[in-house]
Amino acid sequence: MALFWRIWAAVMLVNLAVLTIFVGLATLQFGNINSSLVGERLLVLADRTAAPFKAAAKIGLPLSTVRNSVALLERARQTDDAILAIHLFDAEGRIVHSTARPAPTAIPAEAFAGRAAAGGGAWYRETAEGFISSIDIVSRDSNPVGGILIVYPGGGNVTRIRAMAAELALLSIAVLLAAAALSALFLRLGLDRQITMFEAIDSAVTSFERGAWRSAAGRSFSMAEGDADELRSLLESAETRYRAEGRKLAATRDDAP
Amino acid sequence: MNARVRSLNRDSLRTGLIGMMAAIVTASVMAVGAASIAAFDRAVEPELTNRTRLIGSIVRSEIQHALELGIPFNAIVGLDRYLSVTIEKFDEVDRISVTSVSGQTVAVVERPTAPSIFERSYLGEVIAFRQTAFAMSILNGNELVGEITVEISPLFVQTRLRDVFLDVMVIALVATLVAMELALAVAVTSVGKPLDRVLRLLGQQRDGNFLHCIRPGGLGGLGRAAARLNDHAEDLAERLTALPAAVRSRIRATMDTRIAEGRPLRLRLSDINDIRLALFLFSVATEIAAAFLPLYARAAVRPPWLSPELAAAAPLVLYLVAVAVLSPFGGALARRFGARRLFLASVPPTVLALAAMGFSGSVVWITLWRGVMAVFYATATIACQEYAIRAAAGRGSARPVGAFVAVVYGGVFCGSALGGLLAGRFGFEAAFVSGAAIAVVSGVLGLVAMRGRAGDPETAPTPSPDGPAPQPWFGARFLALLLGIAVPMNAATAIFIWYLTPLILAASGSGPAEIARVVMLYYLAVVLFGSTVVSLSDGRIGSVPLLVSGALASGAALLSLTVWSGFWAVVAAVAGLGLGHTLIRAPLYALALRITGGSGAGLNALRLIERIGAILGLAASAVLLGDIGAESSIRALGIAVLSGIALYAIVEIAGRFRSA
Amino acid sequence: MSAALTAFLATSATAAQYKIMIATWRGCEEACQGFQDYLTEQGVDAEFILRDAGQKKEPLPGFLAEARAEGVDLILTWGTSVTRGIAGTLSELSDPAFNHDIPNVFTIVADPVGADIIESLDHTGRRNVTGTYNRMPEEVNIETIRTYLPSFMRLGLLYSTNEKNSVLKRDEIAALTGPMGFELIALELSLGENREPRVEDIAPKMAELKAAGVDFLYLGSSSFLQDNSDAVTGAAVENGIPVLSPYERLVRESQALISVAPRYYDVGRLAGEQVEKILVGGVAAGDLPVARMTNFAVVINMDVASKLKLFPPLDLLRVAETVN
Repeated sequence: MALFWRIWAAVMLVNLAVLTIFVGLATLQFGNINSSLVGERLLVLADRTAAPFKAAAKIGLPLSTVRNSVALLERARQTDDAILAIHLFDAEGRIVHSTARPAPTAIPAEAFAGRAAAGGGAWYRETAEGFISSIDIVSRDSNPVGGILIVYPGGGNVTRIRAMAAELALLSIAVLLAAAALSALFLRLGLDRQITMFEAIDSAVTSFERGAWRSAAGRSFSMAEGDADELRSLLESAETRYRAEGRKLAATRDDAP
Repeated sequence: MNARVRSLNRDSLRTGLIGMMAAIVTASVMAVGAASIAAFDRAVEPELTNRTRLIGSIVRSEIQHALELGIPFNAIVGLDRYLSVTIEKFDEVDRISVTSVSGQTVAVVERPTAPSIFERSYLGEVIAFRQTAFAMSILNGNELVGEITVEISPLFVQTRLRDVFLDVMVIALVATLVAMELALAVAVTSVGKPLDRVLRLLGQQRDGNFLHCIRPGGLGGLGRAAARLNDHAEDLAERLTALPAAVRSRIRATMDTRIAEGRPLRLRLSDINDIRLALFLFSVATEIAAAFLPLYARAAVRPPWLSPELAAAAPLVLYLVAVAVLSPFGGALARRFGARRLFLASVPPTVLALAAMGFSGSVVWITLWRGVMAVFYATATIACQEYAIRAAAGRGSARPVGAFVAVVYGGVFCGSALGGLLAGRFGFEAAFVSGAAIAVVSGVLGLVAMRGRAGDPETAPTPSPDGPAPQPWFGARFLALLLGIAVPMNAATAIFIWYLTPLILAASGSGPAEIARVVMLYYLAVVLFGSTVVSLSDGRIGSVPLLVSGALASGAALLSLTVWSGFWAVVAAVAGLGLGHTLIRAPLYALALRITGGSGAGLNALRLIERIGAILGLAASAVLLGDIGAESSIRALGIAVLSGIALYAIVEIAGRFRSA
Repeated sequence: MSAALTAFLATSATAAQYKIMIATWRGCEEACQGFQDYLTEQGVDAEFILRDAGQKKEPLPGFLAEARAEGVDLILTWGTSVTRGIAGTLSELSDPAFNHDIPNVFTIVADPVGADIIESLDHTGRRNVTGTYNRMPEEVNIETIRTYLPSFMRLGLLYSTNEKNSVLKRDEIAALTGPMGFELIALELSLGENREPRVEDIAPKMAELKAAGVDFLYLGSSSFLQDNSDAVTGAAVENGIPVLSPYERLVRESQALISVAPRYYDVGRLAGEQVEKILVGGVAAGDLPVARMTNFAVVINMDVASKLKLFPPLDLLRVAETVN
């Protein structure tokens, strides 16, 4: 029985460990999924905000000179209250117009990396504070003349991920409890043969020990029935040999001058 | 007598136990997995439609702005073009139509139905997507003038949900694989080994060898037996030491018993499974960047003469070369220093390399550290391989190498999935640092678990116990095996799996996540069926039939692409190739071992030639791809594989005739 | 004695710190106003002496004489004609009839280099002259036309040989026809007895352009056409020809369809900035580079669009400012 409980405990521990890993990885994955959903929505917004500036760039107007720039940026920002800021930047990344007061001087370092990786198309990235999404604006001869950068907070994202993590954790606990009960049953039935065998080993050892005590009082080792005959006879042979050697040693010591 | 007890108790108990554990844990994972998928879908679906709604409302606001400026509703210039551009930019929109209040269509643009690569998966029927169209009213001042209707492509949503499903499946598989390894480790330590130890010591003491003691502890009777046997050895040793020196030497000379000097030595048993968990984690750690290394390398600072594609490939190439160069010497190293020491020595440099790769800015450094990692990956895996072979007493069984391969590929699978997840969430540096941490854990586990003689340096050459007399290495049979089976197999892997499949899939529109999943299918086949093949190989079916059928299957898989094409054809080919190679791999190594006399040296030669074949194949296909095209390359590969089998079969049959 | 002192003090108290003469061509419009507003806002204590040439060159030397007599600190010249009339060209540097000593800031001059007033925009090459520059490259205008009307192929232009600017503009646009792929139909306005074009000539010439299949008309760089903007744009609308002008006023107040231009008010303010640097900052006029205008807008007259049944495309609607 001890074996059974030990195995059951081991199974439960392994189950716990594995489900923890699963919940951990699944939460990470959900984080990825959620981020990509938010990011893709921001891409739509970035694209839309850039449209009038693209028209201006197409006719050759330098971006910084579009007179109603700030109004255009602000209009886009108002489509979603959560947006922190929208910036219009030039080809070197300096911010030309912005909805933020005071406006930062240049786009953040991650934005440079993102632009480089996206090669001019729309992209988004998760940052420590939330999200940034951007799209380049090109002139008629396909030279980048600047772009739009949207800054979005990550708070809502974090909340949803935590909620999902909690849900998954609860799920796992429920499954663990169910598994505990079911596996006890399952193991009992399934490992029946093995447990019997193990108990046979145990009883072989026990009966050997009994024989060993009794042999001290002169009774010889007796052979009992059972599967683990081999084990029992091994034990007894080893014991016999030990006793023989021990006695030899003792004799030598007595003989010694 | 001993053997029967051992086999009776140990194997069935362990297999039974592992089977139960695996079943229970897998069932739990699947249950949580299914519930997760449902939860994810519930969260994802509304967000998907939010984006489309946003697109619709943007179009509407443009129209309303035009109306406000006084432009008549049916005279809005450029509306058609605007709608077309919108549909082009956003995949999920199938159709946009603008109608007036009277029902007249002002403008309508529909996505041209391109031949769909992705057939409707069964998920489409399972997950019914409720809403496929949105209608929004168009106002001019306070007057309702019309309506804009946006239709969403159901395929788009299905694809996204299917992606969620597959991602969760991958995570479930990773968790299950980890579970298997953990279960095995637990079973071995708590049940298998204690019994083995007692039995071994019993055998020794029955034969008069009292030199050793074993780790105390064990369930019930076993624990007591262990204590008893330990005491035998200690007692005799104590008494011998108490005797004067002269008497001692006399006894030594006369008695045929062996008694320990001082304290009895700890007997440590080696088992193939000792290395499993450590090697698994090590493999996870080193492969953590597998999914994104090309991206990472391409985005890093590179010298002007290096193109982005070369930069992406550089780490991979250096890896292959490093492993190829080291393989011949690895076996000698393992024998000289002992598998345990070699493995443990390989861990710190790997940890360092992983951490360094995370913080390297330039391609040169990344490639360099990858090379360093490759070298120590090679030594670590060779060390484990040696340990495994020695622990299995070099019987030429497929088991040790099969187990070994399953562990490594399982690690590759889990590592790349984990790395991809971590990188996506926390960035590349975090993934590398996690890899380094996992490598540390694997080192600790290796220290704890790799006990026993199998880890020690080899003093005398192991004799081959049975099997035919070892042939000289460059015997026809070995060569046929090498050139006919091993090289085509590895060339196929390198060319088709690593190089052509991503190219073909990307050309037909798959994203990197999808490509990664398809490529992982190949490794999944190894993981799932590896152990079955191993037992079949050792058991009734035997190595050669498996080898041949595997090679035939892989040839067929490759050639199938000349008949069918498309996404699912590629998936089937990858799966088929994976299955075929799984059937080949373990029997191949077993045969190689047997032919070259049971030592690891032959295996290392095999691996070396395999790697060289892979490098040459990759280089050749990269050069030729532009000229002859993907389809012809695959056909050539398929033919090469089939002719390889033919060659091997001929040599084998000829050999049989000669010896008959 | 005290009375004289009081009188002196009184005069000093009421007299402004600077005297600035503003010489205009067509009266004090937005640029002139913007100029004055800027300096006032900046707290520059200046007295503005406004002199309008009434679209004639004759009064100009008189203005210069008056400026010299009054000892003004700076002259602001509005437009090419006024600037050439007062400050003279590069070839007249040694001619004392022109202004070579009083600081001279020009504004609303379409092409100061081409009009031979200065050497280059960065170095005027004249000790006392600088100004503002507010021109868009003509490519922008052509591209704007193309965006508005994708089927655009022929551009119409009216020019007169008595205005150097007008001819220069014709040449400039003609040079673009090849690279930008359009045709130019340029009609010369016949000159009357006083060597100036006649208003009556406008309508027939417009009909001619229409007959020649012109898609769009360019209206700029001609004082005559600007002064008669209503007539010109009215004739264009009657003939169904949309007009693009680099002068925003023509869209806002007349019947031109579209312009890509800066606000003249802002240009005036920019001139004010230059003047501030000279008077308050003490920088010599000749050391200042010509200030570039940095704010432009696309302005569309929706009323005209409606009359012509030629509405702007969705692309332009957001970025453009609309009138009517």
